[in-house]
Amino acid sequence: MLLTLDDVCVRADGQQILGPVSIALQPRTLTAVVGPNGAGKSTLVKAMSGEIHPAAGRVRLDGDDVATLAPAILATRRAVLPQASAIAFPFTVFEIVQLGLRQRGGLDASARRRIVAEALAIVDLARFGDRLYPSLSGGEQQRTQLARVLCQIGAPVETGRAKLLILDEPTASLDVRHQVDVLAVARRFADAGGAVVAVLHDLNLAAGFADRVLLMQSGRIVADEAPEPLLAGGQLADVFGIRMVVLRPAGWLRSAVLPDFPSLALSG
Amino acid sequence: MSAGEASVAAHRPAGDRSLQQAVAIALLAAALVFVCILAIGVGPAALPPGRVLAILAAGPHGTAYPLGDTVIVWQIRLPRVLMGALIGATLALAGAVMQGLFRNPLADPGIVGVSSGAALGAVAMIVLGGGPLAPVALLLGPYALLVAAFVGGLLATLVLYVIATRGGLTSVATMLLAGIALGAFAAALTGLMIFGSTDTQLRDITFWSLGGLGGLTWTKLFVTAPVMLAILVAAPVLARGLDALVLGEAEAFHLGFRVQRLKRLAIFLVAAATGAAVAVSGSIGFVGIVVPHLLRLAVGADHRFLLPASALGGGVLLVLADMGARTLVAPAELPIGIITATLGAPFFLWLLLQRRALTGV
Repeated sequence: MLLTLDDVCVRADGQQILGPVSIALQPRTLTAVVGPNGAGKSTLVKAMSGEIHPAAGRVRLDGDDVATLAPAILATRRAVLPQASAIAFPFTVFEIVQLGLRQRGGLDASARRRIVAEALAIVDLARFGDRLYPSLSGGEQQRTQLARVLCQIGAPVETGRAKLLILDEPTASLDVRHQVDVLAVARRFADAGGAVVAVLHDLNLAAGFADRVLLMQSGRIVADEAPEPLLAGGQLADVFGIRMVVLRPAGWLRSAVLPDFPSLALSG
Repeated sequence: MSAGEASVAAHRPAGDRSLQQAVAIALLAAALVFVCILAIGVGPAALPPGRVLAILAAGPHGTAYPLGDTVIVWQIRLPRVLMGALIGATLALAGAVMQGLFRNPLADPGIVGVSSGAALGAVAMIVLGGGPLAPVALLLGPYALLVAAFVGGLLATLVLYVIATRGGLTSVATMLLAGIALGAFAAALTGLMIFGSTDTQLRDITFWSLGGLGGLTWTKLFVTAPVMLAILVAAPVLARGLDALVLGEAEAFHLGFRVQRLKRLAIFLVAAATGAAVAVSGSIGFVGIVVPHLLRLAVGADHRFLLPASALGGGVLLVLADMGARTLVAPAELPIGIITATLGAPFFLWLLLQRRALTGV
């Protein structure tokens, strides 16, 4: 097991906002976390990343308690793509991306440049190196951050140890093609031996790229299934409070899900 | 991107400004040496740069030049110019670190009340040093004013940080407004101290608060300079952490930094730098905001570059300002704070307008 959560609870201001939650994630998997706003998705991934410490229970990365690992060690084993983040200073895209390499030793200048250039190419920003980050669009900023995170995490497996990539709403401000591109990058990371956890709002992206979907509601995981059975069952509609239509276009290997607008219009 | 392009990019990637930054640091260092030599030559007895260099090379007891010139260069102008360079460097560095800490280019010890806190500490030491604070003053000797200003600056920075930052996010509006309130409160307490001071203390306070570098001697320099040099040498340790902090507190943690320790160090450094500068020369405003901002615009925001470059640029700016202070109304002397504020305040307003154009708020 790469990451295990045992009866993890998170409290804020005396309120239980997450848990108890128990999960185990294996290498070579991409796990999507879905659920309505306020269901605790971000809190869950913050507990996974070690950013917040659980009030009860344990988060273990490769057997080590995340709460007691030094941040510098943790940073070599897992990386986190944050939700949109604003930067007030005129850094270039290149400079932001190479921040991901700052804690990685044993790289000379040319190796660093090569890694940054590769990461920028992966997120389709090859020619954006000298653009100033604050001048980019929201989607370009998010892809820049992904390139930085890819620089930080490096290879999906290193010295026999698989790494964890946590993506908190990686597709939030991306156009549809780049949404697919970014999740394809995540998928390749998982297929190469790493593990990925992605908070997603788009159920079709979750169904298209994830091996496993965690459905959250009110701080708990209410379903933990492969995408197809989850779409087939009626639970999504219950949790999101909106009727869903599940389709299987001819020639597709997976189902697609659509919110049922007309009924909403009629009921409204 | 094809493999061919990738290898070209690896050779000289766009957006990598490390070379320009190294050149800029070298140029700033050269500029600092140049303005120092120039400033040593400027005054009632004007000395051309070549002569200044020769006298400096001959040493404080050199005999190749008239004794008067040697004394002017070595005993009067050199300590003053060196102190000016150090104060400018410390102020600009404090500004750059504080802006990194608050993740905002408008944070400056002078604007958000840290300097006022340091000034309150210094005045309290002057007024109470003979009374309630006598044991402390005795214990610290010549360092009493310095330490008092540091404590005042530290308290102000801590209060400001606690008020303006919630859950890792700093509200700019809260920071600026809290800074105004904090500055006003410190100024009121300072006024109260002055109200209760004796005539001698009042004289000390007046001399100190006028700022300026007049009457600076080697003895005074030896008290403060080591502290400032230590700050200047220690600051680059923070550079990598401040770069990570630019992304956000959570992101800095994800990148492997101990964020709480980083913030504590930054706060300590800002307070120490501001305290040291204020203890010597009173409040000199705007150096900490003008220099880092211009450098970020021109050459880049990377703190590994910005911190040393700001220090050098701050030194250049303050030596030039002091040159102006000595010559503009000669034989009288302007307080140096007047010069930096005259240049800096309009700059700050321009900065605000620019931000408004950019963000619409």
